[in-house]
Amino acid sequence: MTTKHIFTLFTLLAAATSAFAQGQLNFQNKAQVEVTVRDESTGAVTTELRDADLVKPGEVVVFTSTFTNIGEETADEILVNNPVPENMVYTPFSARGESTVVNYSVDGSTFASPDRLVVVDNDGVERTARPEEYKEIQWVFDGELAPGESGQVSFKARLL
Amino acid sequence: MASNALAQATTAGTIINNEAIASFSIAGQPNTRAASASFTVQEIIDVTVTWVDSTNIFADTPEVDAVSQFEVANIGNGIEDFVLTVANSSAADQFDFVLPGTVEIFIDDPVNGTQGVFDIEDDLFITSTTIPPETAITVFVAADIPASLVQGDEGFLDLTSASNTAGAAGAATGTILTGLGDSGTDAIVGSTQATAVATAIYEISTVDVSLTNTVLSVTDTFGGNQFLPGATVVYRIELNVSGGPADTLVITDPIPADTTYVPGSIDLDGADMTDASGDDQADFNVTSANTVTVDLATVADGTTHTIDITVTIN
Repeated sequence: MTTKHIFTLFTLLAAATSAFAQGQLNFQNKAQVEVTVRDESTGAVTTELRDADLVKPGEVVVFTSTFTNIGEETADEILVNNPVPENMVYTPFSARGESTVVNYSVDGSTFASPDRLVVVDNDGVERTARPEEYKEIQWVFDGELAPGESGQVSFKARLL
Repeated sequence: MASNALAQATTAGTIINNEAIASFSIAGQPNTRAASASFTVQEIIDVTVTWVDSTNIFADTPEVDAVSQFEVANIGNGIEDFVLTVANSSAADQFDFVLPGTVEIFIDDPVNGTQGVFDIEDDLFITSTTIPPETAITVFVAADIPASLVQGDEGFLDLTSASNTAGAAGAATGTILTGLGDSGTDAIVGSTQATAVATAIYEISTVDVSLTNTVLSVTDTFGGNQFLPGATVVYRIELNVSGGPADTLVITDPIPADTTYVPGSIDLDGADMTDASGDDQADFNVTSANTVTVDLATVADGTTHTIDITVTIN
C-alpha cells in the first residue's frame, strides 16, 4: 500500500510540473556542428549546420537556445544562462542574441561584460579574463516578449 | 608498458552535456525552464612513430641484437590496438636485414624494468599492442647484422605502426568507420591515416680505438724516482686506430686528483703543444676545466699517436 501511495504522489507532481511547463514559455536547446560543404558544380563553399550527435575533438559546436512565448501574457525579465561544457573551450566573439546584452562568467556565479571580467593570475596579478577562460554565458533579453514571439541566443565552443 | 601521457584531447565515448536555463517573469511571477543538448565524442585514430636514436647505430659485422629505439605514440583519443612491423627501407643503402626472423620488436616495460632502457623485462611484440589515448610507448628493435659487410656500410630499417581497427590503416583522412570507435562511436581516420613509419639507420663500424695510459717517468725533489709530494710525473697516453679510419676523434684527459698540471707540458708525437686552444690540436683548461683536450680529427687506419703530459704531486 505504501508503495502505491508514493507512486500516486509522484504522478501528481509530474502532472503539475508538466502543466506548468506548458504554461507560458517554451524553451529548447540544441547542439549543432558546423560542416563545410562544397558545391561540386559551382565550387562554392558554404558552411552548414548539422545536428551534433557524434563530434570529434577539434570540431566546433554551436549551442542554440530558443525561447517562445506560447502563453497569453507578455513575459519579461528574461535571462538565458548557458555554461560552456567541460572539455570545451568558448570560441571568442561567438555569442549571439538579437536584443540581448551578453555577459560572461569565469566562475559560474559572477557575470560581467568582457572588459570588466577580471581573473587573478598565478602570480597574483589581476587581468582581464580571456575568452577561453569563460565558463558560462548569460544573455539579458532587452524588453518584453509578447505572446507568440520568440528569441534565440547562441554561442560556439570547440571540443578539446 | 612505457607510457607518457601527451596533451589531452577529450576521450572517445565521452558524453558532453549542455544544459541551458531560461529565467523569466510573467505577470510578476518569476519562473525558470531548463533545456539540454548532448552529444558523444567520436574516436579519431592517429599514430606517430619516431626514431629516438639521433645518430647512426654503429654495429659490428656480424652482430646479434643491435638495438635501435623508437617511440610509438597514440595521438588519437581512443584506446587503440596497433600492429608493429619491421621492413627493409626503400631508401638507398648498402645492406638489408634478413627478414623475417633476425629482427625482433620489444615493448619497453618501465614497471618491471627500467624505463627507456632495453632490458630483460621488455616484452617481445607478437601480434598487436594496446596503447591508451594520447600516450607514447618506447619500442626497441633488436636487429641481427649480417656478416661480411664493410666499414661505413649503412642499413635502413623501417618500423611501422598501423592501427588494428579494420579498414583504418592507410585509409584517407576523414574516412568514417561506422561503429568501430570506442564505446560504440564511429572511428574517424585522422591526419596520419592511422599508420606511421620511422627509419633507423645502422652503420657498420669495424674501427677499434685502443688507449693505454702509462707513467713514463717520476722525478722526486731529492733526485730519486719516488711518488713524493713535489715529485714530477710524466704520463704517456698511447692511442691506436685499427679496422678503419676514426672520425672526429677527441682525447680528453682530466688531471688526476692531488696533482697539478705543469703549464705547457703537452707533447703530441714529440711536438710541443701550447695550452691555448686554436693554435694546435691540444689545449688545457679551455675546452674542459682542468683537463687536457687533444682534437685529432680524422685518424687513419693503423695510426698510433703518443701524448705526454707532465704533472706534479701536491
